[in-house]
Amino acid sequence: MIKISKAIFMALVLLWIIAFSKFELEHHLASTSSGLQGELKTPSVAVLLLGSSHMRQSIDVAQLQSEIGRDAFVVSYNGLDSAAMELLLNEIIARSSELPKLLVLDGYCELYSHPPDIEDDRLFFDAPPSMKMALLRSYSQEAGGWRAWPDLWELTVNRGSDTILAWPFVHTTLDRLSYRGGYHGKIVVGSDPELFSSYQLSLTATAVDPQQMTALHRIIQTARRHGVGVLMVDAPMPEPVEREIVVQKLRNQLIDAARQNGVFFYDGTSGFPNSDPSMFGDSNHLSTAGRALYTHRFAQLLNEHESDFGLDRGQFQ
Amino acid sequence: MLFNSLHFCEFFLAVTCLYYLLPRRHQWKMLLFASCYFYMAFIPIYILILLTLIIVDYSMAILIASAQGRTRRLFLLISIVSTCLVLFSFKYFNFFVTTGSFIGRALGLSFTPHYLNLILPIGLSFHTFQSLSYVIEVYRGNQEPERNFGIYSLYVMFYPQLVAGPIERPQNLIHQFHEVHRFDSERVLSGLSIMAWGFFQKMVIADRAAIYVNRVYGNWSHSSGLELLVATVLFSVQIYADFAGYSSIAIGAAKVMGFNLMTNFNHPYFASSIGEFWRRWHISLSTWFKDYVFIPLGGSRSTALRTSLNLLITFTISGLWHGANWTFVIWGAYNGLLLVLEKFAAPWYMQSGYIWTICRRCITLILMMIGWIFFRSQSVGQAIGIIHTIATGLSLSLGSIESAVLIAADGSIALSVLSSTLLLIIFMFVIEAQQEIRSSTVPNQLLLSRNWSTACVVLLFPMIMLFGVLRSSAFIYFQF
Repeated sequence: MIKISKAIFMALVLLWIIAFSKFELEHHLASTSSGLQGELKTPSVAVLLLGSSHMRQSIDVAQLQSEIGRDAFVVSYNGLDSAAMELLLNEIIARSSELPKLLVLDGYCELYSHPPDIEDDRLFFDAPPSMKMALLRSYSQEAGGWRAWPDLWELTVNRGSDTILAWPFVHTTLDRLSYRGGYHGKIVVGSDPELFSSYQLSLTATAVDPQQMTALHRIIQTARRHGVGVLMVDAPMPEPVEREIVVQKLRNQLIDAARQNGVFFYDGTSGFPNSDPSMFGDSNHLSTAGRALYTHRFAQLLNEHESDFGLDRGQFQ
Repeated sequence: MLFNSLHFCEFFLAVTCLYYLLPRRHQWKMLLFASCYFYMAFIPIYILILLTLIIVDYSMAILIASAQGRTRRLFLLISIVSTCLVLFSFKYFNFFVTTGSFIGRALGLSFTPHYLNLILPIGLSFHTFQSLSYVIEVYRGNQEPERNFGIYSLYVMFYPQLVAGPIERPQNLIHQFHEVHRFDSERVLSGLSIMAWGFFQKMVIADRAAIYVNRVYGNWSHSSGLELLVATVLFSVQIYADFAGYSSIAIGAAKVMGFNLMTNFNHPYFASSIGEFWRRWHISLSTWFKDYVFIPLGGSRSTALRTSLNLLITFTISGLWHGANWTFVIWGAYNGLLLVLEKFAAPWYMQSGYIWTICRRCITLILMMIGWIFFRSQSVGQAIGIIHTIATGLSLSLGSIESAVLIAADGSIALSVLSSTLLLIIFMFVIEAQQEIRSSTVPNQLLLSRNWSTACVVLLFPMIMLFGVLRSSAFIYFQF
């Protein structure tokens, strides 16, 4: 009996040591060319774009930098909502020696339509321990005490293990495939016209989630307090998606919220050929052609309103 | 109740503790009660079907033992027919009705087929075969009929092997229920280590591979040749790890309580011929078919042609045993045909030599993978479509590699998931190769040595927690 107890005890101790080390150290293995750690390792970032894959797939960072003449970085995680954006911004402000001049927030309505959650495991992996704790606290409050434990266990112990195991290979490959948080050389072909006409977001919520709204207000206040300009953008969406009443309702609420805070909301769809299937990879992501066009239009906006967005201040490389 | 669920962990812990705490005369009763509970966790009412089968086979075995001449044969026939009738009604009725109606339509006959809307009782094919084995062995005089109804019920219902085997023989199992099993920490530890290896195979290897396989096979008509090829290779790993994992958990769980179940897998993917593969894969079923179908048909004692026919019949029936679908029938016949061809080609094909053996291992592996396409497909058309796409649409361009990788998971973690899955599969086969090199005739021998038992429990538990798919998913063989 002692032998069995010893073996089980040793297994538990070993698991605890690994899980603890993972919690404390795994962010050191994060990508150096994308995500939070990539941003923190990049010396000067004038334009910081913060959002989901909707944002990542809509901006060609290299093209944007060359058109606006400023350094940019996209910190993006799939499904990144405003509650998580707030934590990321706090982390960037606390750890960066030089703050960005302009913060561009993802205004994709889906992100604000549900209570806070973590869709992309990479967010937890990239987060330093203090941010991990904040994410866990936020999740356990949202999911309701004991019921959240299996998920929290999975998040802390199970998720991210793949990245650690395959780290040398994955790290090298991903760093080659991304540039300042955006894609590098990724080709996304346009949609099939038949498929395009069936695109829908199928959102169930009709109003912005109050927690997401509060987080959005706090993000804007925090950025202002640190002298960082804020701009909200929503990248173009296919015409069938744009027609959805829920999408329009949610976006209008976000536009109102931005206006109340004195922030400009740039609706990327306006004036964009969003009935052209070749511009979209799927229901909420642009194709390579769409990305090039939208990046150009977005760069034009920044160039035209350079002083409004605070981009004329300070030194740029 | 799935083995890879928290519910089973609680159940196993409670049953094992009670088993050792109870006086000897009550141990089997408690095991029987636990097995009933285990079975009823799926569809409670189906226990009545199982009970009926148990009563029939129990009585027939006693009658066979006491009867003489033709009456013995009659009782055997009653037992076999009633057992097969249950299997037929639940598993094959709709299949034969569909096939019959298809043939009828082809011949210009018109009739409205009537289907039975029944859910297949879990593990039906396994426990019916175990019951048949008992009655046949009693008939052959190799086994005394069990007079204790409870013990016989436990032989059919013993929970570790109730739903997916190993399909036990009465000579190996029944006497163990009469024996005293005292607590032995070394045996318990080695049982736990075999279970840990099984959980590793199921949760870390099979369930990970399943994610990719399900995505590709679920959308096969839109998948590229490369994606289908990767999915097929992964399915070969999945089905092995899933079923061998289940068997290890069953063998380990029984061992913890002092029972020795028969070996079910012996590193089949290291086999250097099709014949050898079938001596290493699902051994309890292969030997069942050999003993109760192939040999009664005449086995290999007759002419080469007759032996070939016997092999084809046996393997086709074995395919049908796996499922009521033409894909399984073709899969079985395909394996039978491979064996026949191998037997004819043996003089030049089965040569010895290191390089030649490695070549034969690779050929065997590829041939088995082709067979698995039929096994995994929903229809024969799908299987042929998949083989056609792999053969004609295989591209290794950067774009097709990228899209093949992205199936593993959503977003940028896909590469991590796929590469770590491959590393873990390599780890599993390295461990198996180590046992294979040791020329082990007993699978899991590595896990049976004292130090390795402890090391396995200590290392595999964290590995399962770190890399396993923690959300329970059913074992593939449960459906059979």
